This record gives sequence, structure tokens and C-alpha cells, in this order.
Amino acid sequence: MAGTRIMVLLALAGAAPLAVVLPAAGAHAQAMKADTELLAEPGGSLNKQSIKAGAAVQILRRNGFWVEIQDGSNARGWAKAAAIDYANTAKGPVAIDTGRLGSGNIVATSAARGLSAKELQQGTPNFKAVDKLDAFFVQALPVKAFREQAGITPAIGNFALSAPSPGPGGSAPQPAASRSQPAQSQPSSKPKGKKDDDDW
Amino acid sequence: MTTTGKTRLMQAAFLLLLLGPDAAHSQTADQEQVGRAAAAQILGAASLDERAEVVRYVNLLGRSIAEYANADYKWRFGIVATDSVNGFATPGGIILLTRGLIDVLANEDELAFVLAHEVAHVIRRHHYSVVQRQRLVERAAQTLQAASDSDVANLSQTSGVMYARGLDKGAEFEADRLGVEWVTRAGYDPAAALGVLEKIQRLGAADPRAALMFSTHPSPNERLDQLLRAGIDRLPQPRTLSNVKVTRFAEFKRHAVGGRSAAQQ
Repeated sequence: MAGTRIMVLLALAGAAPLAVVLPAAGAHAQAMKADTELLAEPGGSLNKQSIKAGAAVQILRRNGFWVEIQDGSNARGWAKAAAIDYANTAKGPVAIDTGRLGSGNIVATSAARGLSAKELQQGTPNFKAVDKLDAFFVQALPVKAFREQAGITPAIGNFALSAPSPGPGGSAPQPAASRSQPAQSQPSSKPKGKKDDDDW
Repeated sequence: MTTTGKTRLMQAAFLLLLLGPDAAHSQTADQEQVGRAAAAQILGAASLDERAEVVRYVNLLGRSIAEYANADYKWRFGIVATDSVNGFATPGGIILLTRGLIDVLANEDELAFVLAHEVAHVIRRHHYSVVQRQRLVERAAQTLQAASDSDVANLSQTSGVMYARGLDKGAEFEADRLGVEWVTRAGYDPAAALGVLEKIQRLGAADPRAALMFSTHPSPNERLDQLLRAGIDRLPQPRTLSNVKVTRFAEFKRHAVGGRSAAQQ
């Protein structure tokens, strides 16, 4: 019984961040930033297909910092998410939407009620509710237990991200990242036959 | 603004600097006061979820992340009952997320990023700076009348306008970058930030639940692009999957969304 409950909860929670491939954004096509050779799997070997710079692609799904993409000629494979020009919608032929794209994942409810700008500006302030918020403050000890309960290990290193230089393709300073445990899909774990990071 | 207006503004700023100890004394107290007024305005438009199962979890997670930001605030996190997809950071450390936003999130890592993003707004004083600038303008216009309690009365209204208009893009990008840094340090997956932005992008500006979010923030795809160009994909991801994390987030979401889930993750 308890096992069933956990299974249901796992299903409700959806994809775990590492083990499950998430559907990615994308009813709209995005363009490739540069000529890109595709991989058979995230961080895997080359699959002998490539997509040209500027080509329109559909993002089929994402796993960590990798995306599975497909272009109008049905070239399909995995590339780094950073190879995609997210900021601009591409024009051009793309793969036929097979229904696997993520655009239909979230269903608008007819009864949905949004918080509008007007309501935010014209509402009557509720200070009593703010007073109730003060009781929500939690002390440090339970926070420590909360982390330990899930076995969450803080990472050690400098993870600061600097603002990228303006304009497309601007290079950004790279953080000197490290973690007490090696990362699962670090770009640095270059597989055999895979191109250098700088080639992406 | 006219030259006269600019001169008045500079005079007001100079006089406030001269006030020195008074102004400094209560920077913290003033942030709290401004934050309470801002939170009151939001809570006047959407009611606060007071259920223990909801409150406890989001405050434990929020505080857990905020500790990595190394800033001394009295952090309080709340969920407001609206289908809108949004989050509000108020000066002083009160952070409010909407039920609609919880509904689209898939896991604790994604919620951690959202909370970290809002914590960054507080620590970088993004909203507080807007209020301070507004005060200077108003005081200049009132020929430098001293601040009074009537200032407090106006704060809520000013806050409502501020949250309806949003911050500049740079502030949102900065909150994203800092949020990613802190969740990584805290042991969460930085790629969760991409997941959150993808989900909001999928909703689209035409969805009434996301309309305010889209009108007050840069597009999620633009934010994705900024994070990738900043080097988010060089950050380490945790190797292990915690079933505890999965289970407790699912429990929290079930309570917070109250069986009205619109997202199928």
C-alpha cells in the first residue's frame, strides 16, 4: 500500500531532474547558432547527422543541458542547449509536429482566473494577512534537518555567472565550477568521437 | 523630466544624504515597512494560503536556499490563491508565489530556482530601489516636504503600480543568474532553471494566467538565452536522485494546488 502511494506520488511529481527526459519548450522553431554535428544521445557519440547554422529546428525534448532537435530534412539528434538561438524564433521549414513537442503539455482551464495588473493596483491592502506571514518564519535547525532528510549535498566552488556580453554569440566568462561529486552530464566529459566544446 | 525637475531631484537626493544616520538607521526597518506595504497590496488582491502543509514546506525550502545568498533577512514565504503564474519579491524578505506557478512546476529543484530568483530580487534591492526613486521624485515635487506616515499609506499603492509594471530586464536577468548560482551551491540542479523558463514559455503570453508575467518580464526564451550565454551549462549537476525530495514536493504541490492541477508533467 505504502509502495503504491509512493509510486503515485512519483508519477504526480513528474520527471526527476536527472533521470528523466523532459519535454522542452517549443511550438516555435528556433535557429541553430552554428553548424552543429548531432550526437546519438546526450554527451554520446556523433550520429553522422548535422544541421547548418541558421537552420530552423524543433526542440523535441531536453535532458539537463542537452536538447534533442530535428530540422526540416529530418536530421535528428542531440546537441548542447547552448547551440540553440533561444532568443529568436527561426523562419524556415522544420520537422512536422508529431505531437511529441511540449506545447500541449499545459492545459488551460476555462475557470482559470488571473491576477491582473488592475487588481494589483486597485486592491485594498490586507495588512492582517501580512501579520500572519510573520508566523511562517522558520529557524535554522529545521532547515538543516530539511536538507539532511533529502540527502542534499551543498556544492563547493565558484558558481557565479557573469552577464553575457551584448549581442548574439557574445562569449561570457565561465564559472570555475566544481562539486564534491562529479557531475552527470558535464560537457567536460568528452566522449570518444565527440567534438571539442569550442566547436559547438 | 525637465532640467528644473532634475535639479530638484538632485537637491532631494543630496538632502537625503545629509540626513545620514536617520536614513541609514532605518534602511533595514524601512525595507521591512516597504515590503509589508507591498505584500499587503498583493494579499489584498489574492488570499494567502495558511495551511500548515503548504506554509511549512515552502518556508523550509525558501530559507534553505536563502542561506546560500549570505544575507541577513527575516525570510517569509507564502503561496497566494490565484491561478496566475507569478512570483513577487518584496523588500525586507517577504516572498509570495502564486498557486498557478506552483501548478506548472515539476519538482523541488524548479521550485528552488523560483524561490532563489525572488530572493535575489530582495537582496539586490530591485524593488526597494524603485520605491526609493519614486520617493525622491515625489519629495522633489512636494518641494522637499519631510517624509511622514502618509508616505507609508502611499507605499501600498506605489507597490501595486510597481508590480503591475515590472522591473527592467537587467534586474530580471541578474535575479536569474544569482538564483542559478545559489541553487547550485545549495545542491540543487541548475538545469531546473531551464525547465521553469520552458514551462512559462509554453504557456505563452496569450494565456490569461501568464499575461501579467509576460508583460512584466523579458520573454522566457530570452532569459533562457541569457543563462546559456552566461555559462549555466558549465555548472555541475547533482548525481543522485532523492526520493524524499520527489515525495515531499508532490505532497506540497497536492496541497497547494488543491486537486486543481492544470499541468500534466
